[in-house]
Amino acid sequence: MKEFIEHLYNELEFLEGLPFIIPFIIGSFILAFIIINFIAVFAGVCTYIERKVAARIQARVGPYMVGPHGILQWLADALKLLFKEDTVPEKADKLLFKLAPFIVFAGSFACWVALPLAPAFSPARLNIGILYIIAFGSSVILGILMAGWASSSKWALFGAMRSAAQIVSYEVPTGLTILAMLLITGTLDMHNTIAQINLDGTISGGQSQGLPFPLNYFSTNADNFSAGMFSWYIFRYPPFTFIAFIIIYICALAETNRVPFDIPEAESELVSGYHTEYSGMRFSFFFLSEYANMFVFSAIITTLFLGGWLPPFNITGSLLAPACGIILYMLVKGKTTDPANRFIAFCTGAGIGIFLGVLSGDKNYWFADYLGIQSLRFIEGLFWFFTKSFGLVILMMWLRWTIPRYRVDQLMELCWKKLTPLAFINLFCIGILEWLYK
Amino acid sequence: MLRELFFVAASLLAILTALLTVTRKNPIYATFFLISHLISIAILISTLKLYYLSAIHILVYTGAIMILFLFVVMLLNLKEEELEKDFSIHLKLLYTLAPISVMVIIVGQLKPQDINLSKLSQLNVISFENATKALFDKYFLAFEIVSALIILAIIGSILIAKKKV
Repeated sequence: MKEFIEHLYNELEFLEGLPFIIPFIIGSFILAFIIINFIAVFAGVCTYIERKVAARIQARVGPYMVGPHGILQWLADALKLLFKEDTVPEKADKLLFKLAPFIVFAGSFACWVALPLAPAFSPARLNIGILYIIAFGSSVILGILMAGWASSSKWALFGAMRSAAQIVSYEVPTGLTILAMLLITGTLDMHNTIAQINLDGTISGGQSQGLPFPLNYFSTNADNFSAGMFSWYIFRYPPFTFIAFIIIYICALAETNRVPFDIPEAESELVSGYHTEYSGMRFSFFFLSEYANMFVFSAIITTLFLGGWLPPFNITGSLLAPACGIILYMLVKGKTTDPANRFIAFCTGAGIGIFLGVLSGDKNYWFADYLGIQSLRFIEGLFWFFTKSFGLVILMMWLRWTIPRYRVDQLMELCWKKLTPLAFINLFCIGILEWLYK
Repeated sequence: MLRELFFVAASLLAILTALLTVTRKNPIYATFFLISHLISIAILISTLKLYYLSAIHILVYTGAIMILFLFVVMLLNLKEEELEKDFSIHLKLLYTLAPISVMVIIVGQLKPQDINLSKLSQLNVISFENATKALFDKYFLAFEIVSALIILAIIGSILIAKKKV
């Protein structure tokens, strides 16, 4: 982001006399504003999708009244939370009670700053990206403990205690797995992690090319877009990287307090854990931070294992368009006899194929020339990063309505007796393979 | 300019939170102020461009150690009477005078030319790579001995605690 503001500062003439700090601060504020609103909308849409997923699994319809197919339900919910009475328990520690939701939210909000959202773009490009995210991600526990203690309610306190114990324990296998992946990537910079994947699947340092002004900002090792999904780190050393992926996904579930590890908020035991006493907007801050955290963890997994912004396949659109058209035509064939409908089905399929072809990085489309390959890469990168991360988030929702909850002792046993030794063995094996094959 | 501003702000914040830590009666508040003190130290380190050290500082102290502190303090759940045990006036005097005298001695050592904030912007970045190279290359033996020492300390403390039980 700093480079982008620097570009603007150097190019725009009316900023001539100003010191660099002023446009830098203003730009940072604008970006922070955009991200904070994006998280709010993202969490809202997530609640809607979660309810729909739950409904689908339980053979219900789910929210249906507000807007078409209930798509505006999350807005109505947010409005309700805004106008709800803001209660503070009489015996609560007022200051800490009011401060806690903001600390929880700030912890998960700070993590978004370092995510590599698209080629050469993240709000702040940090040399120590992953370390930064782990460090600030752990400050969420602070807010949770604060909320639990300040509520002066035994449910809240127990919820906070369980949550802290759980998150601290599960950081051990998470850290070990990330360490194993860092052995392969060899960098903490989340951009280099992806940019250094070469066209043939080997790894090297990324580079940028000389291009005219707004486009050069997006310049990156653009050619690795056609490297295909087998260049991703999850396919580097097959059995061990798969195991690492599964371990870190389980840990992500535990660290975001999702089912089957939602012991801190177990409704049947603890009412709703550390946010039992909260209502209205303060409650929704915990809610926002939970969904923001889910996305952050999914984004870390996407970057380390699933190739970040890289598209998963390398098929040119010219092949993909007729293939999709024929598939859709075959699907519709049995259901309708009207040739017009069949033709529409074929055209829709072809359109989807072209769209996928563009997203997979085909340079032959006319708008590739029009937009410039770098900005096309930017849009593609953004699309694939969010698709992959969001896919992992939806998998978390799916698991929530599929698996029953663990008990506290089972949870700790899983962490210390199973996942941690497994992560250690995994780290050892990946280390040996990296030593042999690098 | 901005860097110097943040440096001064973070150092003032660090002093303030450290003072608040030792003057709070409620241990929970003291712990929270200690955490904010450690965070402001991390900000201070990052104004010196030692980003790696700063991230590690937050990760280790606020992420792990202070959480355990908070955990223990909350589990103990001290009663109000225990919190209000007061010190005598002599002790209070001692506790105020001792740190002030130490501070006077330290500040007395400083020369006016030592306080030069513009040096801050000329610092070179100590990167993650350089730090690891130093740890695992030049100071490898010392690093390993220190980690062995820490493990010994943990075992020792468990032994001492067990004898009392």
